[in-house]
Amino acid sequence: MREQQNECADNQRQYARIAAKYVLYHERYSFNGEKKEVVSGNIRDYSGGGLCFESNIEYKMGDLLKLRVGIPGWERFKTEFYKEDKMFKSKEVVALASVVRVECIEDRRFEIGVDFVAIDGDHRRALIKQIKAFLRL
Amino acid sequence: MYEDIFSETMEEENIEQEEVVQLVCFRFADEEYAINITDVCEVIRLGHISPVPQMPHFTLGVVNIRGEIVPVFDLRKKFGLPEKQIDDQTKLLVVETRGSNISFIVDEVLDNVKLGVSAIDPSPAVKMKIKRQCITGLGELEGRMIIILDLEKLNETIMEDINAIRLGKNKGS
Repeated sequence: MREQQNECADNQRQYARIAAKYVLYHERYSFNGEKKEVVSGNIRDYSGGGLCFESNIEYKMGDLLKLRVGIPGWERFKTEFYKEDKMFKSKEVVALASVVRVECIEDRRFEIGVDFVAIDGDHRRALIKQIKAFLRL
Repeated sequence: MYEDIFSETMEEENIEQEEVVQLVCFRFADEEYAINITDVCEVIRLGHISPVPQMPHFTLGVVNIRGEIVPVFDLRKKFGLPEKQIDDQTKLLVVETRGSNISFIVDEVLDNVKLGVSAIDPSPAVKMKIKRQCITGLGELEGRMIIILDLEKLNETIMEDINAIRLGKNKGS
């Protein structure tokens, strides 16, 4: 438990983190494609290494979650060709994440901290650049 | 003379009319295998694979490819073949089966070939490195023996192992 908390702290030190409130969809990861319940929530903060969100599901430490989160403007920091016009529809950041912190904040409301365990390398770099650009403003 | 040209043309037309399959060939455990090109999504370099707990031993984990989470399997471990060091030639072959993507580690990706259906023989009765049910047939091309995989059957055997572990876990809990 302490190791995981330390890992979370290390994660916080390794990646700059910003507070934000964006919609996130989370579900337990199923390896064999079995449909799981998808729940929506809001994130509290995020970094290139993970994020923190609110949930009415009490996940356990080590649970693997599939996350989809819409972060406005992150795609312009990808190395792929990017053009924002009227037809443009922003993609969500999709990642597999491991629960590293669970805190009860209210009755049946939990704050869940996760570390990304599988995120596209270019997407992670784009998030990091986006956060750095935001912090410079 | 006109008869010869006519018969040659007819032969060419017959060859053109024969159903042809296009295959992506790859080397695995010192043998040459192939998958139908329509099932192959991409070939990528081996990157970071995130392990997933409580999975069969041949499951190396998952990779995130541009937002898609793709399981990675090692067929050497699946079929009890000797292990091989990963080198520059080792690639990840991403394929689509039953609407979702999975991937395999292969020793080397070779070329794309076209084979006439008549050049493909059914899977032989002899013991193969890979389960016979996972083999569609054997193709012969310019002296090469190509083992054509049945991706659906292969995926089925993999999912059977995964579900067996899951059921075993549920019984225990």
